[in-house]
Formats: sequence, C-alpha cells, structure tokens
Amino acid sequence: MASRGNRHVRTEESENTINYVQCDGLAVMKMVKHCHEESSNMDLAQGALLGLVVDKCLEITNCFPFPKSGDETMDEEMYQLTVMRRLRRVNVDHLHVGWYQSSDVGNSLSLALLESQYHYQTSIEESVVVVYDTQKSSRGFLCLKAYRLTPQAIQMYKDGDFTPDAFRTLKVGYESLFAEIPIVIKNSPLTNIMMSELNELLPEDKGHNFLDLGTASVLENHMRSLIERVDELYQEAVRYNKYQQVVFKQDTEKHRALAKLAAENAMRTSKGEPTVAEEEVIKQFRPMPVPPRLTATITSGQINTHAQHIAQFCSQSLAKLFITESLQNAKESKEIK
Amino acid sequence: MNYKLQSNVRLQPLVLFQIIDAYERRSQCASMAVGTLLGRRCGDVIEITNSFTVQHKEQQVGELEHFKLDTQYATEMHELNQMSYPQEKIMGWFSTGKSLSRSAAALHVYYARESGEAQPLHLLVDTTLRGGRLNTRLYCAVTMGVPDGTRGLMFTLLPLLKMDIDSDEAVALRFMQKQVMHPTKQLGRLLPELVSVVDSLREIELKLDMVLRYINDVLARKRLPDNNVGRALYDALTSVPLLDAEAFRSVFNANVRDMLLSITLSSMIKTQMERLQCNDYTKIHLIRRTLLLLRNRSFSHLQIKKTPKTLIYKTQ
Repeated sequence: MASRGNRHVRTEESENTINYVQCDGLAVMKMVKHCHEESSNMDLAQGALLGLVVDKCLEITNCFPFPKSGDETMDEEMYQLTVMRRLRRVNVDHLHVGWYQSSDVGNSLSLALLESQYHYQTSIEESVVVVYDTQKSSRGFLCLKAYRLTPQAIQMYKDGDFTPDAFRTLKVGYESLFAEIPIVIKNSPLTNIMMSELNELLPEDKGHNFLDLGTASVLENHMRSLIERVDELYQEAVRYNKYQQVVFKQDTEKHRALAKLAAENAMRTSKGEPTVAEEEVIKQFRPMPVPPRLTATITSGQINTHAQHIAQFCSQSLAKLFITESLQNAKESKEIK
Repeated sequence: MNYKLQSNVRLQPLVLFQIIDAYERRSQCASMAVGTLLGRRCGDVIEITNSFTVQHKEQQVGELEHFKLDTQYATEMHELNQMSYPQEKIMGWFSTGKSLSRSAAALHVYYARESGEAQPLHLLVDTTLRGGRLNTRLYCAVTMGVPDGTRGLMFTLLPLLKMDIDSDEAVALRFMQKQVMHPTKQLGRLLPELVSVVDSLREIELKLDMVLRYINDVLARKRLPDNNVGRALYDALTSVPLLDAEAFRSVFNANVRDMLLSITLSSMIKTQMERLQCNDYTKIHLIRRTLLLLRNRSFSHLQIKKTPKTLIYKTQ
C-alpha cells in the first residue's frame, strides 16, 4: 500500500503525463477482431494493452484479450502475467499500459469504468482506457477513444468523499472527470507496404458502409439512451432537491429554537438564574446525511457525450442526405428532358 | 488425409499484421520469424484467423543449418490462446524469407503432429521485398518417394489466398490505407465523421472526372472503347434508383427535420448542463419534459415512441 501511495504523489505532481496515444495498426486490428467477435454474442470484450511510454506519448504496440469471465476457476491475474511473460520472450513490449473495452461510447463512461481506471492509474500512472464503439464502427466510422482520469478525479476517488463540497473544493465537474486523450494510428513502413498490397486483394465495396443512408436505428438508439440518462439525472435531482428542502426546514427550526433560547436566557439572567448553553439546542438537530453526487456527475458526463455524438452523427447524415438530393435532382431533370 | 488443392483458404489481414510485427521484433541473431497459424476449418473452407510468434534458434554449423523450435513455448501459447479463442485450432505455421528454407521439413514434421489429421499449411511472407513486392505464398507439403524407401517432402504452391474480412476490420483497414495514400495529411488522427464523408465525396469526384475523361476520349475517337467498361458504367448509372419526386421529398424532409431536431435538442441539453453544473438541478425536469414532448409529437420518422410507460406517466 505504501508504494501505491508514493506513486500517487507523483501523479499529482506531473500533471498531463501523456499528451497523446500512438496506437500500432496491429493493436488496432487485434482490438477490432476481439471486440467484433464478442459483440456478435452480445458480450463485453475486454483486454490489456501493451506498449511503452516515450516522453509525453504513450505507444500501444500490442494487446491481448482477457479470457471470458465464465470460467471461475481461472486466476485472471495469473493469466495476464503468464501471457506478458510469454510475449516478452518474443520481444513484445511488456509494459502494461492500460486496457480496452468494447462499448457504446456514450454509456461507457460509467462508474465501473471509473473504478477500474482508478486502480490502473494508481498502479501504473500512464495507463489509459481505450473504448471501441462497435455500433458506430459497423456503421463505417472507426471509433476509438482513449480516456484517462484527471488528477482531481483520482484525488476525489481516493478520498472517497462524494459530497457537493468535495466536488466544489476539488473543482470536479462532469467535464473534468475523464480526460480524452487524442489517438494517433501509426504503422511501420513494412506494414504500410503490406496494406498497399492488401488493397488489391480486398473487395472494393467493403469498408465503405459509412455512406449508408439509413440513420434511423442509430439515431433512435442514441436518443433512447439519452432519454434514459436524462431520466436518471432527473431522479438524482429530485433526491438532491428533497435534501435541500429538508435542510432548509431544519435550519429555520434551528434558528427559531435558538431565538427562543436567547430570549429565555435573557429572562434567566435578569432573574439571576444560570443560563442554558446553545450547544444543548444545536445537539437536538442532527446534521442530515448529504447525498453523494458521484452518480449524478457521471450521468451528466454520459449525457454530455451522448449529446456530442448525436450532433456529430446528425451533421454527417445531413451531408449524406444532401448528396442524395442532388442525385435525385439530376435524375429528375433528366427524366423531364 | 491429403490437402485438396481446390480447397478455399481464407486469410484474415490481422495475421499479416502479426507476421510483420513478429519480423520487425525478431531477435538480433535471428534472420527470420516463425510462428503458429491458428484458424478454423469448415468443410472445404479453411480460415486463418490468428497467429502467434514462436521462439526458435538458428545455427550455422559448417554446411549444415541447425534449426530448433521451442516447442514447449508453442504449446503453452496455444493453451493460453485457447482460453480467449477456444474455437481456434492449429492450422500450420508461418515464416518469413525469400523462399522455402531448409527448416521447413523439420517444421512440417512438428506441425503435422500438432494439427491433427489435417495437413499443416505453410504461409511464407517475403519480407525482403524481392521484386519490389511483399509476396505472400501458401504451401502445403506432400510426402513423396518410394514406399518403404527414401521419402521426402514436396512443397506445392497453393492458389493465391483470398482475403476474408469482416466489415469492422475492413473499416479499420480502409482508414489506415487512406493514411498510406495521403501521408502528408495529419498524422493518423481519427477524424470526425463529417470529414470522412467529405473525403469520400472528394474521392468520388476524382473518379467521376476519370470516367468523364475516358468517355470524352472515346467520343473523340482518341481511345478504343472497351465494352466491359461500358457495361460497368451502364450498371452503375442504372443502379441509382429513381424515386417518385413526391415520395422523395417527403422522406427527405422528414429525415432532415429529425436530424435538425436532434441537433437542436442535444445542443440544448448540453447548454443546460453547462449552466447547471453540479448543484442546481431544478431546471433538468424542463429539459426532460421538452425531450418527451418533442419525442411524442415530432419524431415522425423515428420510432422512439415505444418507450416504457413509466416515462410518459411521470410527465403527466
């Protein structure tokens, strides 16, 4: 535990340890394969990222999948260590630089993700989580996002204090919980040559599905989860408002009691009797437990990303719609002639 | 069980990525990379879906070349792979080099034992780029010789590999290929969606220009017309469906309206969120109500109406 604590201090000192993530084509392809295969049986795919840190850049050069969680007898940590040791022998970078997960980007920034990323970042400070959006990628847009927890978020999670005051003092908002790190994909020259060769072998029509005009299903999904999130946030808001009302009520009662006490005390001093201390009254009003704000903040973050994605998706769909319009117009004018 | 030459071997691009990575990361003393090919077999179709590198030792003793594969390592790696991809079986081995090496015979014996009754395949990737190309060839060994006498192995070249690719992988591959073609562009950033649509539009424009030039050349009798090209062009032109003008308008308008509405909504929510930050949530129910109302009334095209009853109940 002591060593963890030491690392922690370093994390806070060196803010922005990583400016960008550079991902090898091999790692990308491996992640895509794993996530795609798992998503066909509706499972969540997870795996470890291997690489190295160069200056301010985190290079991801390889990765390997975590085995399916159905098997309870297996020791997951043992498995990871064994794989890394084996890969080390064939000169693969063996620094564990994070993990990846297949998911819908909007929903992925959840409490579970926060928790595991916290553990990663406290043991390996440079680590990132890469989220691969299967739904969007099958629509033709390669969607990989790398996230890290901000130092404030780590501090907050370490303290385990999720009261509004803690949020305020640490200046954590829904936008400053996760920091997105830009991803750059880079390949070696030999791989580039291989890809040019592949270009001739690939069927021409594959991989262009982003020109697909059907938008309803994606938009529908996005909207639905947006509504769900807003609903959750609303519940949280109701809870918080209730808390505020109760506190307000208690405060007024306390003031009334204190005023009454002051009057009584004045009476007593005039009669020469000993006064009653104010603490006695204050003790009667126990402070209310403050509802934790973590869920609300995370939900806000999710709503924010959903909103961003909807806006992005709609803008490109509009572009495609207008392309079709011009096609249609051209056809129509030809028909008239 | 001999391997049939007509069999259909499909290779996933990932394997090539892995082989090249293995070659680039080989140890200093090694001249090539060797590893196990994994995949599955359904009837006549063989799919090579994965691979892993195996350590080996090369030694030059006089004329003889000693080659030793770390078989224990190979078995361990295969067992580990079984945990995450239980459906993948050993299909053969890969190596890099100009041509078949002497080690192939020894490797064949080992992999013949590992891959069960089926003949192991040998994938050779020429990383020395002879002839300016990265050649990938697939071999299969056949025993030959006199019965009960000297026997040898004959490696036969199998027909050119077919690429097997899932749509997701194709998307990733296309993206990376685009980078190779335009190296001057921003270094491998994942671009926003709109940009990729615009980019592909530009590509289409270039292609249209090319086709137009060809047609003009043919019309001006500068170039001999090619019937195949003509047919392909005709097919492409007729594949654009002509919708009824009315119907198109209504679909188009409905779509545009939905999109604009979604954009408005999402940016509205975002602005509200920015204003609210953490502590004041009194206005969130306003957004929520707008969302629900708008959904019930205006999303003509989308079918979001089917939501749990509790939602609608709560607003009333």
